Amino acid sequence: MDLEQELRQTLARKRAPAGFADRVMEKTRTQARTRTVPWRWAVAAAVLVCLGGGWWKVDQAGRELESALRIASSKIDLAEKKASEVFVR
Amino acid sequence: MELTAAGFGDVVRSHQDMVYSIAWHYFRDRHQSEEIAQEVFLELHRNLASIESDSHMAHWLRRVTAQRCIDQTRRLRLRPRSGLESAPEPSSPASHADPLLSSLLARLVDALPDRARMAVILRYQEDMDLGEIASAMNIPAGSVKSTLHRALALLRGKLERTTAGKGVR
Repeated sequence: MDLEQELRQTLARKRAPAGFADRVMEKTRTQARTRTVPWRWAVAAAVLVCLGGGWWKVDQAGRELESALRIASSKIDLAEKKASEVFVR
Repeated sequence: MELTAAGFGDVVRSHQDMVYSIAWHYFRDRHQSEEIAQEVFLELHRNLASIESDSHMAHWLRRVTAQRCIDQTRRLRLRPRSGLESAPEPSSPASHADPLLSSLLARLVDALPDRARMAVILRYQEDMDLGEIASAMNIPAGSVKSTLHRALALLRGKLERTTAGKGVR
């Protein structure tokens, strides 16, 4: 018996299961989709951060304006008080 | 190398028996072999740009399949299972008429250590020479030579004991 010849026959190539190539092709399509999804999520996250940052700035400006009006109002009250004191004297 | 989806499908179809058979002879498990073979082709799809020619592709596929099989065995400590009843069909008709001997030899190959088993598969399934096997398995050619020599001696000894009376060359 020739061992090397027997090994060649025993280890001859086998046929891949039916539909193997189709399953690989389906996985390559899934792989391509999952590779693009993180980019979409990254863009969506960046947009949300920008919107959030914009909203925070608008909110901050509103609070500063409110504070400025309150200070201005108290200064006007004070000025009115001083003026009425002078007028009474 | 740039390929359309249809072109890549043709590549898979023309190399699927080779890749699947290396994994099948290594694991003797249909599910495990298909999983490894699919991963190899998905990796090829991701690395198509680095492939220079058809012969480079065949070499790349053999190398990546061999490495993935050995890595998978080390990771899971898988032992090959002799699921000969679920063995796939040969891609070309077998020319010998002794299925019992073939089955015995397959079991003896299964029992070889990981690296020796892969070297024997690449040598006798793919008809690769020592240099090609060394490159595919990322080991020196001298190691391949001694590994194959020891593996054949082991197989010869076991066959002689099992089939007492028949000379094994």
